[in-house]
Amino acid sequence: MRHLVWISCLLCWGCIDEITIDLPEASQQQLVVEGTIERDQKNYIFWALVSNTLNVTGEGTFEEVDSDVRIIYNDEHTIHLIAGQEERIPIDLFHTTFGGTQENAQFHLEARVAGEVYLSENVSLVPVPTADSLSVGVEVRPELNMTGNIISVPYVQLKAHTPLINDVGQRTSLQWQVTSVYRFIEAVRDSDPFYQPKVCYMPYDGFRNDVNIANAQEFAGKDRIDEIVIAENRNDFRFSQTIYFTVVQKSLSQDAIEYWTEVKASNERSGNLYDVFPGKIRSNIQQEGDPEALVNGYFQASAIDTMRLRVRARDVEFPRRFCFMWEEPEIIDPDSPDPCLNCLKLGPGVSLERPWYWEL
Amino acid sequence: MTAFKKNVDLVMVKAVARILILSTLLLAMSGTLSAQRATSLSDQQISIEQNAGTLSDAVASLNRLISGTIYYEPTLADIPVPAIRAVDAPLGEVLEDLLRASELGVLYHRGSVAVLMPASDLTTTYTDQYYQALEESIIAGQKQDASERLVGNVDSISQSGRTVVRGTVTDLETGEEVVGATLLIEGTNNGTATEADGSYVLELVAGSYMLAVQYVGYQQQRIPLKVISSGRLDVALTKSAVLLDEVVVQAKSRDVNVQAAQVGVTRLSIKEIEKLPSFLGEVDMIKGLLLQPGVSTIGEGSSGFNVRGGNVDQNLIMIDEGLIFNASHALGFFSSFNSDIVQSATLYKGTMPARFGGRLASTLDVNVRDGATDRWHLKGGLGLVSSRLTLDGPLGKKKKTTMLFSGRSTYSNWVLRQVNVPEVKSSSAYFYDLNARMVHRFDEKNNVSLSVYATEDQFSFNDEFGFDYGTQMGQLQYRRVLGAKMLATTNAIWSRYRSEQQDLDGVDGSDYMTGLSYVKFKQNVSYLDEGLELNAGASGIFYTIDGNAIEPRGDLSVIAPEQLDDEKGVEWGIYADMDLQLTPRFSIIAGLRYSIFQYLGPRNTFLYEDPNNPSVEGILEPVTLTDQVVKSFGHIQPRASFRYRVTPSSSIKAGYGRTVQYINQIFNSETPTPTNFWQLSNQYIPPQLAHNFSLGYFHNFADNLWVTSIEGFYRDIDQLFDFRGFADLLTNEHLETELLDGIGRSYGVEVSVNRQVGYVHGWLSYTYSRSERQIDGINEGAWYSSNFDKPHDFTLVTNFQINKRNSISINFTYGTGRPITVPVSKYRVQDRVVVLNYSDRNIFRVPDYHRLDLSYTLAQGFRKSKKFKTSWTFSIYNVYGRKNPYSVFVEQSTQSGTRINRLAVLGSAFPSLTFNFELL
Repeated sequence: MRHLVWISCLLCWGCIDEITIDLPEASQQQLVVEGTIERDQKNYIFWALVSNTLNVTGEGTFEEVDSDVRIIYNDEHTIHLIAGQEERIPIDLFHTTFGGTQENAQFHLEARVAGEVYLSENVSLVPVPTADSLSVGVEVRPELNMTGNIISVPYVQLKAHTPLINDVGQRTSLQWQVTSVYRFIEAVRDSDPFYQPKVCYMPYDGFRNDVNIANAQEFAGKDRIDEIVIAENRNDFRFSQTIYFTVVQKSLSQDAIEYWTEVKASNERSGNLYDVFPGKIRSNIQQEGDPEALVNGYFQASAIDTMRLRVRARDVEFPRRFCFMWEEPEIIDPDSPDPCLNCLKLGPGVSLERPWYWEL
Repeated sequence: MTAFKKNVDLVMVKAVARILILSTLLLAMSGTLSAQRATSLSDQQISIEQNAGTLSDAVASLNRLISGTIYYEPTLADIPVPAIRAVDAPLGEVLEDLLRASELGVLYHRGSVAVLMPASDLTTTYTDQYYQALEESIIAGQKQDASERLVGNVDSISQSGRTVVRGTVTDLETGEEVVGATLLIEGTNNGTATEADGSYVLELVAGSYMLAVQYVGYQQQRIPLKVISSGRLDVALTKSAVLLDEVVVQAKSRDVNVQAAQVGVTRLSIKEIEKLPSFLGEVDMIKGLLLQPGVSTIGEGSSGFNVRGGNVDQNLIMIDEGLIFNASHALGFFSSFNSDIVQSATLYKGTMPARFGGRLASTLDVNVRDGATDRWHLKGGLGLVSSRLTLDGPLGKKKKTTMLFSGRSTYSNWVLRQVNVPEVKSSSAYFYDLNARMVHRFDEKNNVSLSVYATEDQFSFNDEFGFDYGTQMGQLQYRRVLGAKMLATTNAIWSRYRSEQQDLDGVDGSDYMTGLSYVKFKQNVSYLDEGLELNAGASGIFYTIDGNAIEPRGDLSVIAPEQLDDEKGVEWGIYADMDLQLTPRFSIIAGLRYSIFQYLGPRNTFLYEDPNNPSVEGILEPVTLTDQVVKSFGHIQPRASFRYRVTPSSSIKAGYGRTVQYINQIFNSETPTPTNFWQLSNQYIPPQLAHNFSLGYFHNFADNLWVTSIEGFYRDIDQLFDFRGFADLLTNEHLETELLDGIGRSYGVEVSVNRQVGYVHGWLSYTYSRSERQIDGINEGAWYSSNFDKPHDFTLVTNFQINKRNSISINFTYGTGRPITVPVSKYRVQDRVVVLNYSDRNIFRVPDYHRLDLSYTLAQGFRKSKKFKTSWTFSIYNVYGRKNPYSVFVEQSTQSGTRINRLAVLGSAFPSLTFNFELL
């Protein structure tokens, strides 16, 4: 439906702009209680956190709230966690220690915050189908630039190809979590023919806020899904050299897919005529003393499968290396933010160390 | 001329005869009055000498001698009378002597008239009005000239002297009825306007008047009128070659707001709407409607309109008797009514007449005109995005059959192809509408009409997604006049509305389809009499709602095909209403409608733990109900309104109406879209019920130059429903689980000031209105604003008729921003996704709406030929480019963080130019 906004803009350029409105509720902070259990080929990965909401336009970080968080396995065994930190336990070790099997394992979250106890429903892990492959494509779209002219903008789309049926024959709802690392090579320097341009590896998490899901119920009768777009980015300098996408494919229970569907609907409202009504996003966590109280957050269990795709400039028809036309300054300033001069200035997380999966 | 004179003589004779037939005797008071008035005639001194002869000879001689007139019935002419001889004797004595031998008596009137009649007839009281009628009838016979129009006849003189003049106003050239023409008795506040069929009713006391008949685009007629009794007066108006500044531009008679008993009625003048500034040059009836008090929309580009805080789907929109389920083109930017063929459009926003039913809030009754009866006419317009053409005229030499064809189409596809952007080139936006109407008049009492209406909208963007929706309708109507006062109308209608949303590529590639069809029968009988109008009838509508269906599209699509079962239902209605003037001050419209709705089986459905609160968790089991009627509802709907005329120029009106709605539009967005579907009431979704109350005070000033009103309203709704947050509506076989039911209310005040004529005319209206709901599960059960709750709404429409050729129209609109739900906070989950936390429903508002529009019309003024008329209209919509926010939404991006944006559907000024032509 975002296209409808675009069509509207065709009729009246410049019709979307930023405004300020009074939000009297903005100052009221609310608790967010959440946790995840993921199971890859080897480990259970536990994580939980209690945090506060932020003003919708507020800057800064989401403030963690002191809490005692734990995961309860099969209503018997407690795994104490440090809020915000992953706890990995090998699958074999876990079941050796606590008993039971992967198939019948059930978990729930318990969080104690300021004297209140928050409990989640029991969740179990649904096996995830093993993904086939990833691919990229380029789609060119018209957009309005700052001066109101229509320009064509190329976008790189990352697509997934995967069966929908898991190993136990269940049609499974899926979620994709996409991260990337791109390579950035500094410019050669005419003033110093012997200068060896550094090669940096910069993590790029521009897709972190995307909600990429597929509801198995909508695909009834289908055994697989192809070319579903799970990430999209302007075909910019990040694709001028090589970029690696890492995609974590997660299984979702029916309850979890409904939760993420609501999150997606909330986040992707574009203000157009056809937006669905927003609502209070459901949660599977309750406050023990007041079950009717609204709780933000969700406790999710997923089996995961990880895929990677290397994308070179020619794969996305990126015309030339970003620093190709770089003009060397007369005086080299070591503190210059210019990444063509010093790629370590690309930003937080940049590294000269090549990721372990990176193929040359 | 000979025939005319003969007619006058006949009138005079019948006047006297009537007097003789009436068995009356003067009572004391009126007798005294008569005696007093007669003194001057009976006391006139005359000298006469005449031999015995007949009464006619004697009266002829006397009439030559007196300053007055003596009348008698022709049958008395040969009665023998004795010789009379008198010298300076009073006429009274002379007549007494003359009639002594006979059984005749004398009735004197107003000092100048003496009527000879059987003495036994002089027995009853006559009112002043009677004498006035008598006098007028007599004078008519004496002084009628060629320019005077005579109404009534002596046979029909009523004892009260009051008369009802009925007639039709037509176009002299085409014979077509003129709707909304004003008839005004000059020097009084008495006037009316023609109805949808060009007819009018005017109540008068017998006498002489100057009747002014006028309508925009026609030359005004001033008709000297002599009214003897109730009768008929037809008027034919001549079209003006140019816009006339002296023509009164109004949709109703000047004081109809004071006179009519119906409360909350807006009659749209298409001619007036054509002068309003238009969006992209497209004259739009619905845009004109939005300038009326109590009518609003939630923003540009939204389909439909809201009346007094009602839902869009709570308006009954009818073209003739056919129901329209989507009256929008281009996703809501235009309406599907072609103004060139609309004869009349009336919006009932208060108490609806009993003949209308099935919607809670209002009825928009649009009537298509017949083809011209004289010759073929061509009319059209060329605009920036669309053009229209209408051809109408008679068939055959006898011209008993008329045809009308009209089409309107956009060429926006052509415009899109000129944009040098591949994606735009491969997009399309296209609509058309077609109307055809054939009327055959078998004779003066029987006619039949066949109408066809079709619309189509197609829209696609870059082969990615699209919409396709349209309506087809066929109507057959038979009208038969039964006697002098009754009219029977039979209607049979078939219609189909379908809509499709296409996702054209990718894994989501799909066609989503919805629609409905119905067959409607209606029989209405009208009875018209003096001061009374009765309507009664029955109707049946058989609905078939297409089960929502979704089909995969393209090789990559993973969408699973789904097809829900069709739904069927039938809505029966019987009704009767009466418009009765009890006294000159007090009139009442009272009606009763009884409707039955049957939700028909067999039907696959679900059983729930709590049938009154269906939920997914509460589903017990799917079942198949084999009953022919799964659920039946019946409702009595009384309707009543009255008018009390406080003074000749002011009145108080009040109205009450019970309304019921059995079919609802399901949409989980802030405005209906083409892909929304209709849902019948069933065992889980009860019909919505409303009580509608209205109270108004109407006052006109300066001989109806200024028409003012203040009207309050209150609507109470039961069994209203709204949608759960994130409701899943499409192809949902247990839709009822996504609905929450509750109650609603809307209330407000409408104030209107209208200057009807003059160099500057127009209107100003202000509406304060609230629309609220209370539903368990939304905002913790507290009252909350509906999407179309806009407390303040102000409209100023000003027309400057500079001269016959040039006119300027300026509109200004202001409205409170509509309610919205916005995120008030955010949080992050799984250390990745930032989730927006929304407020309670509709507790914020977008900034206020205001807009200024201008238009300039240059009419044809100097062309001699009246055969071909042209005009140019230049409009600027949204003159100062106000970015009226349709909505406010939050945009999150990794680069720019969280921004609150507003979306203005129309964010700049839109100039347009339209060329209109008409070949007569």
